[in-house]
Amino acid sequence: MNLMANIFALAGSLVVNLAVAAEGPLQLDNFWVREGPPATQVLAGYGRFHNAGSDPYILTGATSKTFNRVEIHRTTILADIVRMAPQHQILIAPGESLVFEPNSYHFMLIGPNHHLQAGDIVTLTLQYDNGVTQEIAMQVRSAAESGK
Amino acid sequence: MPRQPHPPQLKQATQLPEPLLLSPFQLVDQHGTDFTRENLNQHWSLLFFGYTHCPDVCPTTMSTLQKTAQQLRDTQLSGGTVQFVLVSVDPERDTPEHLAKYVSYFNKDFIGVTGALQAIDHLTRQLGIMHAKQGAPSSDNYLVDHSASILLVDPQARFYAVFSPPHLASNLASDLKQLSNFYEQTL
Repeated sequence: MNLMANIFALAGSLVVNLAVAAEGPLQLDNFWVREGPPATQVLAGYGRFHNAGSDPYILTGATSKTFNRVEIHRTTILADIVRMAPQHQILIAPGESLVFEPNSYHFMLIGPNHHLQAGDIVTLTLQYDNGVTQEIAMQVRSAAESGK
Repeated sequence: MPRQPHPPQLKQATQLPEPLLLSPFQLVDQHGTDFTRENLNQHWSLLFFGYTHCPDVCPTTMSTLQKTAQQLRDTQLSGGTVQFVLVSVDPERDTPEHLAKYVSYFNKDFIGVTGALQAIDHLTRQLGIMHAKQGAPSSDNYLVDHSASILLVDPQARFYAVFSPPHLASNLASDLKQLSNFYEQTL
């Protein structure tokens, strides 16, 4: 394997490790941000939480240096109407998983400070009601991956 | 006795019992060019109603439409080619320039349409599409509730079928082929 291939392999493994925070009772997996068209002011981020501990966790908010503001929203589609509503407390019960995914729970990432492209990494700081904060790196992925 | 057309075998779409001819409307596309009922003639049109500040459902649906376009790329449909149209329900922020950047990100052939709110409502009311702004009217950071369905208009500018969510590109492509075959039999 030549030097460049080694560098790419190393970069790839770093990306994987950044996207997983498996230590501790609250495990985060597959966190990502959907790339948006140029000049997009609002993006969405997704990921999977798993509470492997014995205490409940309540997610109360998130911040990021890359965005002016981060909100947590849930999309519902009821009687064909799409509605997004802010979520201020989300319980992740012991032994349970919670998935943020398209057309459901998501991080609303408002006002990026630069145009994000597939492959970029952004960091989010998650806040819980017990005072715990948790940093998670999210990889930007092409929008093409989100449609079914 | 004329042969009865075979009813289409649909996976996701609901076909209207009788196609409904749209009344004329006056909107503009992402290049600032008029987009009217005439633009729906000679094409199958998949219409989605959304807005560019919508971070979750709209890009997801646009990606599904892009996948549908890919799956139909080498398909000949009876009546005309298919065009994909995003109609903004947020004309205050969705200028033609902004729509141009947005739709071309998903597919360079996609069409983005906007216009005066009254003109948009003239189209949405005919199609049973709902939209409503959330939050304070003065804020420029607001959400818009809107219908999730993708609507199909036939090559005679008639409302023809509804694709309710959740949307799968393979179902959209397959149903569109079925519906265009049925359309040909009923001409």
